[in-house]
Amino acid sequence: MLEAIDITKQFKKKKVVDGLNMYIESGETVGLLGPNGAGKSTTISMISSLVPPTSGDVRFRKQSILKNPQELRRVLGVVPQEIALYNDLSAKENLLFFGRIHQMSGKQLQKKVDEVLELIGLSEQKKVITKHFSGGMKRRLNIGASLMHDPEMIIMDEPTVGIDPQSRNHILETVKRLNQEMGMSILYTSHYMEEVEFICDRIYIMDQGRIIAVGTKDEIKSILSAEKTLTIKVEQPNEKFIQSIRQEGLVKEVQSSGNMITIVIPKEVNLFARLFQLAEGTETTIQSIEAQTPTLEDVFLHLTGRALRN
Amino acid sequence: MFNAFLKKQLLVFIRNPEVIILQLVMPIVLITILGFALGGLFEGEKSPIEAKVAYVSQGNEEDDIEEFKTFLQKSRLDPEAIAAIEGQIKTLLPLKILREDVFENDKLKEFVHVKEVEPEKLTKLKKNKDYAVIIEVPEKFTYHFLMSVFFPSEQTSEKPELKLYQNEDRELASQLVADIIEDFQHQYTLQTALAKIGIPMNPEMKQPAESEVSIQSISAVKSVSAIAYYTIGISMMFVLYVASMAGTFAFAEKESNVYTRIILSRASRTSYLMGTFISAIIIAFIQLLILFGFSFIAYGVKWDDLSSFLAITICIAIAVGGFATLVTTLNYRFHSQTFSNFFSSIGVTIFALLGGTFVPVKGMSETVAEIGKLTPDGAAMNAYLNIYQGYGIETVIPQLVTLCIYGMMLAVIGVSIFPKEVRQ
Ligand SMILES: Nc1ncnc2c1ncn2[C@@H]1O[C@H](COP(=O)(O)OP(=O)(O)OP(=O)(O)O)[C@@H](O)[C@H]1O
Ligand SMILES: [Mg+2]
Repeated sequence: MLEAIDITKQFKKKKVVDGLNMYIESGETVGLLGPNGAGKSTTISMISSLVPPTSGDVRFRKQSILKNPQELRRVLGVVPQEIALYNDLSAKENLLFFGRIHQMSGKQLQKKVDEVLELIGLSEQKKVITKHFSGGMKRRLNIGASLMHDPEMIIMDEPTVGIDPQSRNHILETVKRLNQEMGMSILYTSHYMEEVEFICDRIYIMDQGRIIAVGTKDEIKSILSAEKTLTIKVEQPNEKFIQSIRQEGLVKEVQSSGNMITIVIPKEVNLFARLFQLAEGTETTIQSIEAQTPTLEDVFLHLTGRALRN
Repeated sequence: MFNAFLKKQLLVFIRNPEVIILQLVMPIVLITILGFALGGLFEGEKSPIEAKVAYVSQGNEEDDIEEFKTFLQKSRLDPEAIAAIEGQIKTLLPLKILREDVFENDKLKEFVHVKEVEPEKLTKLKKNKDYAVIIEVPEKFTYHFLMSVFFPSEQTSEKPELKLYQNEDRELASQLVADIIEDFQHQYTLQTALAKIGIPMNPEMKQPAESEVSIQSISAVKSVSAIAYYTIGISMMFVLYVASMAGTFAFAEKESNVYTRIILSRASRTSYLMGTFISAIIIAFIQLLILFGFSFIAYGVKWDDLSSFLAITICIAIAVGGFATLVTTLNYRFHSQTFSNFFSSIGVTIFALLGGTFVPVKGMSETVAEIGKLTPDGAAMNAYLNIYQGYGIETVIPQLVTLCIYGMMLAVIGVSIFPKEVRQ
């Protein structure tokens, strides 16, 4: 339905997005995951026709939107990362305005406003001026404003940044409903793994302007399926112990912080006995060892050698 | 869709406390302070309209009368008729009436200062623009006049008519004098016309009426008190802040990405800017009504000619709409608030100084006064002052046109240079 073909965005000399390919099919929920500064917002601006790419093409239903974005704009809702609302207008007035600029009016408009207020859970606060809202309420209204014209596809740029867990859950549930009950296609951007895991069918992982992994949740995790992660808790941090683990041929990665040590090993290897041996040899007391199935966080770590958030 | 922008913009204006303070509280405080502090200054002054009139006589009234009397003697009229006519001459002499009754009228003397000047100096007079009006009496004026009254059928030479040279720089004053002279001229041509169709004249009946007309047009001129002056001046300054406010709001709109939503909604740039234009007009108009209304209630600054007052108010509001549109566009085009800031700090101040918000431009140099008149403040102040003093709407048409041109031109420029792509 919407695809980005080899798009690049260059500001001055810096390539912020570099040869990115991406597509969203009708009815799909797609996640775009990446750390701060990865180029997520820039990518979104390009595929929603707000910023032209330096090179490459964006196509909606096989037609390039670079020259003619109107068809896409008609069916697209965008929730910007920054809250894009009139602070001096009430929730209802904001929605009325965004409905009107989409050429809605009269009963249809009123009905849609009530519907959206209901969906984002702000019916009772509809007369409250936006600037008096909490961060979470503003975020909800920010989403609501993009739903006024019944978009077929909605692109959300980190819609849950900086809000309380309750509002966050409400938003995540709402987004799921938009897809499941109303059949909207969704492109959801975040640097929170759990959110993307919860909402999306398919995930793009982005870092430094490039897509470094793509696939369904399971496909992506299977990148790591040949491996498993063990978390070892020790009584006292001990550098000798860590060194001795590193020297074990089968161990792929070792990370430590405080008295926790994380190691990555091939799936079929059983290292428990060997670890206790090593601990004894270096006079370390192991309190516990846990095996974990990989998370997206691990995938990111695996692919980039860095944590997603620091 | 433009409707959506209009409603939104009005709400944004109304909901902002800064707007209330900047647009209403500050000007009211300033009007009050300046009005009272400088009140004495204004009262000590003469009326703002002062007309220096040069009176240049090319002929000689006495000689003309003698010539007419000679003509009388030669005519075939019987001695009794001749005696009657000679008796009437004295009461009829138009120049005498002009000098002694019109110019010496006490009320008129407050405004109009007449000086007799020798004919040789006429060319020089016309060049240096010292006088508001020069009245030139052509040669044999009185003779022709008397002939046209008593011997309309024998009239061969030109119509007796006074020549007026109006100084355009002193529009107000010169128009005033011109009106008086015109009235006067009208009166005596009426007399000659009546004489021509044989209706006997009754000079005693005509004369008082004639002076009446002149005095009426004089007493229509209301003097401008300090508080009235500053109500106009300060309002003209602060109404411009509507434009910088609109620019500020627009910039916030862009920065907060609301404008992104507007682009995505496929609403046109023109309807967006039209919303800015019209809302600024409405806000400016309401602001002025409140300021002038306050000044009327609190300080008795009353507008006798309400419809002319409203016409000017609409025109300055349109000019403000133009500025609002342009400032908005420039903020967008250059991705910064520099333009609305510049406009509110430097632009408004310069306009106010040149326009005469603080000191009447009359006191400044000619060039400054000329430029001042072309500023929106200056044009509007000029128009308001004229109407306030009782002049008709026709005297302020140029100012109204100036204001509307400002509004339309700036709005068109604003729309045409609004960026197609809006960078984030
Ligand atoms: N207009 C611009 N001019 C120059 N550099 C820019 C511009 N916009 C973005 N960048 C740079 O491009 C990089 C990617 O920015 P972008 O906002 O797309 O990242 P992001 O993944 O959305 O990050 P975040 O999670 O913080 O929102 C950043 O280093 C940013 O500084
Ligand atoms: Mg971003």
